Amino acid sequence: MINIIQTTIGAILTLSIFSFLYKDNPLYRIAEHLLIGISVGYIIGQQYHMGFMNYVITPIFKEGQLIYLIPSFIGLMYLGFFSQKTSWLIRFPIAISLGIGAGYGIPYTFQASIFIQLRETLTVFSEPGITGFGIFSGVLFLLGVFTAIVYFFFSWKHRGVVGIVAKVGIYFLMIGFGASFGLTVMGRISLLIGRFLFLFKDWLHIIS
Amino acid sequence: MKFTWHKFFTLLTNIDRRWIYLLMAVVVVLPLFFSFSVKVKPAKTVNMLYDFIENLEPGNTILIGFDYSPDSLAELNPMGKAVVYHAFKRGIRVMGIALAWPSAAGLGLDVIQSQAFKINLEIMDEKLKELDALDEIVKYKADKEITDEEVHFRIVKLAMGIFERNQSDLDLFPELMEILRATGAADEFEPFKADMILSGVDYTYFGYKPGYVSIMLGMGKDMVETLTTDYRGSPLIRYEMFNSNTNKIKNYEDVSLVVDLAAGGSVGAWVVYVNTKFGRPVAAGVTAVMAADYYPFIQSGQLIGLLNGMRGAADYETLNMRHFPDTARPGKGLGGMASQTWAHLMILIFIILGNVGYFVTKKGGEA
Repeated sequence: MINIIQTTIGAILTLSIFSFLYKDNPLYRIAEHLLIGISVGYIIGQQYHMGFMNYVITPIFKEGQLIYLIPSFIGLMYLGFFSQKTSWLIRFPIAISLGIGAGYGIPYTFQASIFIQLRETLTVFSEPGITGFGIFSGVLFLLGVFTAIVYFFFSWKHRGVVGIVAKVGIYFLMIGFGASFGLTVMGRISLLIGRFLFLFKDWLHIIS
Repeated sequence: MKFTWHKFFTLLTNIDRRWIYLLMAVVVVLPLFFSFSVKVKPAKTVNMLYDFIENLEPGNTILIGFDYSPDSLAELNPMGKAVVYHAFKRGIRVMGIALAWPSAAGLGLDVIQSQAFKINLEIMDEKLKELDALDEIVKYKADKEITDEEVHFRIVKLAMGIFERNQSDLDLFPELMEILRATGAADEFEPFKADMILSGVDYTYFGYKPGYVSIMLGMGKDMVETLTTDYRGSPLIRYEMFNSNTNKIKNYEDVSLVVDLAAGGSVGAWVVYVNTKFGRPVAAGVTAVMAADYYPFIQSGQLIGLLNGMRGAADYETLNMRHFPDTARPGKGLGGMASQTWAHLMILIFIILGNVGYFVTKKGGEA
């Protein structure tokens, strides 16, 4: 019985959101506000139980691990934001978060997103047993990378040879954007299919 | 009134967009009703992930990141279910965690538990049919006005509750539990225990853990120390997966693969911190909108597989059906492929009509 009530509420809210496709209306607004309100409430609940309780209350007050007082105190400094006199306190947790984040992030991000990508781009022909199609793909790949980089090179005016190469780069970029757009269409239709499957299968049980 | 292409296309370009919405709804809905089947040829990147999991040894462990919210459920839930089903069928242990979105906490749990439950139903199938004939069960079904399917669900839930020592599961159906105990049927479940998929033994779901990168890095050192509890708040150290003398999980060294199901930038973080720093293989299942961004990571070997939106889920379901023809069934990925095909055809027609209309109306206007 509870399942039926749950899916019926979900179905009514889905239809309320769909009603916006006809025109804006109060049902749509109720559903939209409910979505935002419930999402925020759920997130606060999750953060409280899984974050505050698990990493502050339980270790400090139940397990006596006083070391957790230090990060808790640093985190509390964020509350200084609410008064002009103490707002300077938030610089400390922000500085610590940024420092640790950058320290950890920069070397590995460079490694993963630049060095490894660059290495694999430059060694595109080194694959063992590469076929004719592989060589063609490699040439196309290098041409795409080179011309797209030239397009984003603004120190020289895009005239003459540079202009032609940049123009080729634009075509490669356009093909990339086209692929992204095609995938976006597929993604959006998937969401629509998901909602229809929910309405006709999970709610009304009229499709198997 | 004389027909001209100019008038026709002028009419089309001025059509109320709501007719197009309606047409799209019809095109998407009709294939769902008429069960049009579409043959799917799994993509290379999906085969790569499937083969990787296929080549793992039973007892190995995969970690799945549920980094999406309910708005991406249609694309990512089916692929999660397909991957978890495959892993469980191969005897591979599964861990699940939600790091990026608090709202993913319940989604990940549903994906893992539903597949564990599905496989346990398969394992106990013969026994359940046998129990259907029991007088007490027949009477229970009649009293409660429930189907065979529903009573099977309840029995498996209770069997899992017995083995997982989960009192809240046992309290769900007290009358049925009493029948199973009184008739001795509960004692006959024991031989199934070794094969069944059980929480803490074959899978653990950590739920949402705030901290994101710090949790990702902490898991590389010590999972029990970093995560401390599962989604229910039970200490991880109590579970066989984390305290076994022979095959316990301590950190990424004991994880054979990380699969991130993502609707945001979390794949990048798993690649940067888990693949680059800890050297563990990472695969991704992403929404179609972001898929194009991740193909370079396949080419560089930083991702060992990629599932692309609902199509990726359909591909994986197809592979499951090939490998487990007796038990694997089409999921919502394959279920949506016919609608997807027809909707794409309609959009292609609209793009052609729109462009032809643009030139025809422009030419007519200039004349």
